[in-house]
Amino acid sequence: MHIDLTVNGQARQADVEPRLLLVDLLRDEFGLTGAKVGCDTGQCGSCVVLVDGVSVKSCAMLAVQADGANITTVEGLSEAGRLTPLQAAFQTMHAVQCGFCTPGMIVSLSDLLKRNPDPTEEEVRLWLEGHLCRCTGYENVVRAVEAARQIGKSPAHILADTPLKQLYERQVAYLEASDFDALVENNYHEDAILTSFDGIYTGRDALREYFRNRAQSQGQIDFLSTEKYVESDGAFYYEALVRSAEGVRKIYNGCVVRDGKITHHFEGAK
Amino acid sequence: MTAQPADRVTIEYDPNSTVRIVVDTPMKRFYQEQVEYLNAGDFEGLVNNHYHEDAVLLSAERVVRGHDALKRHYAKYTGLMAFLEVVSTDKWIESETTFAFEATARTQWGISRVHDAFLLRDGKIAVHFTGGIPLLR
Ligand code: FES
Ligand code: FES
Repeated sequence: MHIDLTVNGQARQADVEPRLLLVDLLRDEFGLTGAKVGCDTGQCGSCVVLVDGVSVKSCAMLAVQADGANITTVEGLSEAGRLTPLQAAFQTMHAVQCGFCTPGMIVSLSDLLKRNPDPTEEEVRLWLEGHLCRCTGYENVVRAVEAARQIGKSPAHILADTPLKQLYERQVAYLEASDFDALVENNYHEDAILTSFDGIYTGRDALREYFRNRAQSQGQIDFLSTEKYVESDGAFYYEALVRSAEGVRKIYNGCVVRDGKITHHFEGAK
Repeated sequence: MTAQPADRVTIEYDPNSTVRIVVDTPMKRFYQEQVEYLNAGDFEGLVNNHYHEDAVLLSAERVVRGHDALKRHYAKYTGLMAFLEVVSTDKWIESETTFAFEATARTQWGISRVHDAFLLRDGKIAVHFTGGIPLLR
């Protein structure tokens, strides 16, 4: 039978046998192997995909039943290669062991968060019924949902669970709001030094001027994602994707911090 | 040597310069020395002479603190990268206590680009940020 469907935003067609399962169509015909076949009998949840936005066990649905449907697999959740808050949270909270159950859980929990952005722990646990993790890593999966809520609200798209991450998060919020007075006053020491390849800026006045001039030439800045973040006592380093009038680019920054404020800031673009 | 901001030096461009720039400030000389240590595989000398005992290096992948860890890091990193030489220093900036550069290096695997930034205290590195740059921007 001929079917037309949309998979991860792309129009697809297939000639299938009426008995073919949706999961086999996705994996074997379309090469989307994110959805796994754990049991083939609707028990483990590793094959979950979104069908018209609703999480469905794709081993319990025939391909022909998906005719005309809009399918999203785990491969289609992220935009432009950026992890969703839930995916980032799975990574941050170590909610993955062997990873076999993970695509199904992520797709399924994405559905939960769309219906209910603030689920209680009990609601998360209830929702996870129908998902079996053979590595039994449920605790961190539950924590990841809570972390995803926080990452979703964070201007830096991180789980700000340390004072330095909170400083970074404030940095991003001030930059996005173009509030350079508050940025410099609250985040930098009086004699802070910013070292960039445009020049060296020392002291709050020079910093304010630098940020203002940069905003004038580049326009509003929008942090799309934090790609990398590391910290140690008194220093943090991050790489982030940002969008401005100049387009999307990757930046790197290193900051040295004393008593909660930056003393030295290094920045550049990848 | 340790970099003393006050004592400016003037050195003509040396075509054999290991960092491919005119080395006319103590910071640049410090950087050149760093590359010479790397070229010689002398991580003992590099770390003992250029880094404070409590110095920290941060990259996207790791935090490395202290002399022993730094020596292990350099041995592993240069081994993995199969570092051969600096081809060019593409960007440079320095203040009295900081310097940063972007450089292109030749390794056994081909060309590689890096960025590094340093905070110095009393002429030795206290904090070092480092990372790679994609070849095509
Ligand atoms: S493979 Fe579909 S529920 Fe297990
Ligand atoms: S992480 Fe191994 S099956 Fe869940």
